[in-house]
Amino acid sequence: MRDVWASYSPDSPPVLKGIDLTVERGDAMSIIGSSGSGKTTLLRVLLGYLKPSRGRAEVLGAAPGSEHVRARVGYIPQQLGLVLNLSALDNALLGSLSRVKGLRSLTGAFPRREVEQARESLKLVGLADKADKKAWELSGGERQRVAIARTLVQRAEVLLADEFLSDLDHHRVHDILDMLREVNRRGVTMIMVTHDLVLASEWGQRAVVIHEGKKLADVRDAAVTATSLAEMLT
Amino acid sequence: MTSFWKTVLGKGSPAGPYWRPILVAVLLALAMANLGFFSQGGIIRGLRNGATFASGLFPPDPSVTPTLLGAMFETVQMAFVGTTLGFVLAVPLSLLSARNVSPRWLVPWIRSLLGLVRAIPVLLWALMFVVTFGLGPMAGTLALAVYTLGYLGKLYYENLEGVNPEVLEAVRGTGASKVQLARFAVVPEAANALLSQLLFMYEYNVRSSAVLGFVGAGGIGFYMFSYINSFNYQKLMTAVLLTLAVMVLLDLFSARVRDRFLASGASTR
Repeated sequence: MRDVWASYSPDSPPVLKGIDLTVERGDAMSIIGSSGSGKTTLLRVLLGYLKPSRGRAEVLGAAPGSEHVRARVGYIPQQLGLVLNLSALDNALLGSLSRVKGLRSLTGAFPRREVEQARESLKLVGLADKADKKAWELSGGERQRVAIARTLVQRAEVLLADEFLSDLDHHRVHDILDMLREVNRRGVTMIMVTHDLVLASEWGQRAVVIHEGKKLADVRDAAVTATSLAEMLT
Repeated sequence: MTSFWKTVLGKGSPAGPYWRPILVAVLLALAMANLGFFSQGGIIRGLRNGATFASGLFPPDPSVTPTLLGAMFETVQMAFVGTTLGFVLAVPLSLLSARNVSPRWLVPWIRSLLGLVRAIPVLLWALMFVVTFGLGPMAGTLALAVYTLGYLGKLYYENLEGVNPEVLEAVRGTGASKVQLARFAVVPEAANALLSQLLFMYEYNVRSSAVLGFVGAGGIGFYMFSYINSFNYQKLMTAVLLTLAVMVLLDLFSARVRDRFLASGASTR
C-alpha cells in the first residue's frame, strides 16, 4: 500500500489517511488499534471491497479484488462468514469454487480430489468426525476451525483475518493460533486484525499499530510485546 | 404509542389538537353511512336473512361427500401444482431481483414485472385463463401459479437481500462467481425463510383455489358456488366442513415440516 486514503462515501471523512504498508511473502503480522481506528477498512481495501480514494494498493502484484487475486486471498471475517445451513464439509468445499466452475459446481458435483482435500483440511483442523454436521450445529471454536479449513482448501497464498478470535476463551485461542502458525509455516502470508494486544504479541513476528486511520508504528520480533504496543496506543 | 396514533391523538399530550380524533370519527361515520351501515331497514333485513341462511346450513347433508371428496382432491392438486410452478418461476426471478446478486440495471425491470403480476388479483387471473383455456381446473391452476410467482417473487427477493453481507463477502473472497455466490451462499442462507413462505403460500393457495371454483376454474369452489345458487345450504355446509378438515390437516402437515427443517437451524442464528 502506498499512501492509501479511503472513505466509505465521497462526502464522508477518510477512514484511512495515507497508509504505507509492505508485507513480505510468508509474513505473519497483526494490525492492531482501537475500535474505529481503520483496521477493518484496511482489510476491505486489500480485499478489493473498498477502492482507495487516493494512493495505490496491490496484492500479489495485482489490483485487489480481481478474480485472479480473490482466488488466492483467503478471508475470515469477524463472524466467520460460514453458511450455517451447509455442512462443515460443504463450507470447506466453498474454498474450491474458483477451481470448480460451470455446471459441475452448480449441481454440487465437486470433483473427488476437491472433496478429498476438503476432508483432509477438516482433519487437519481436528474436525474429521464432524464433516457432515451443519455449521449451525457446531460450537464457536469448531466454526472457527471450519473457516480455517475453507482457506486451506482455497490454497490461499494470503490469509486476511478480522478479529475472528475475539469470542473464544484463552485456551481455545491458543489452539487456533497453533493451527494458524502451521498454516503460516506452509508459506501462507497472514495478516490478522485485532484489538487484543496480548493476542497480537503472542501471534506475530510483526505488528502494525493504527490509530485514527494513520499508521503509528511498525514493530518486529522482540519489540512486539503487549506492554510496548499498549504504550504506543496511549 | 405508534406513530399513527400519535398523529391522530396529537401525540398523547393534553395540549395536542383535540379536533383530530373528532375528525377521524366524523370521516369514519360518513364512510359507513355511504356504505349503507346506518340504513335501519337494511341491517334488520340482513340479520333476518343471515339467521335464515345459518339455520338452513344444518344439518349438513352427507350424501354429497363422495362427490366433494373428489373435488377437494382436485383443489389440493390445483394448489400443489400451482404453488410448485409459481415457486419454480419465483426462485430465478427473485434472484434476478435481489440487489446483492443481480446486475443493478436488471433489478428494476424484474421487480416491475413481478409488481405487474401482483397487481392483478387471482380471481381476475382465473377469469383470463378460463377465457383462454376454457372451464376447468387447469385455468385455476395456472391462475394460482401466476399469483404465487408474484407474491413469492417479492417475498423471496426481500429475504435474499437480507442475507448477512459478511457471509457473501467471505464466499466471494474464495473467488466464487456471482452465480456460485447465489447457489452456495445466498439461497442456503435464506433457505429457512424461503421454505417457510413456500409452506404458507401452499396453505393460502388451497383456500384460494376453493374460491376459484366460483368462476368455473375447477375444485370444490365450483360445487360451493352451485349449492349457493340452488339454495342447497346443507350441501354447502358439508363442503365447508370438508374444506375445514383439509385445512386442519394441512396445518398439521406444515407444522411438522417446519419443525423438521426450520426450528433447529433458525434457533441458533
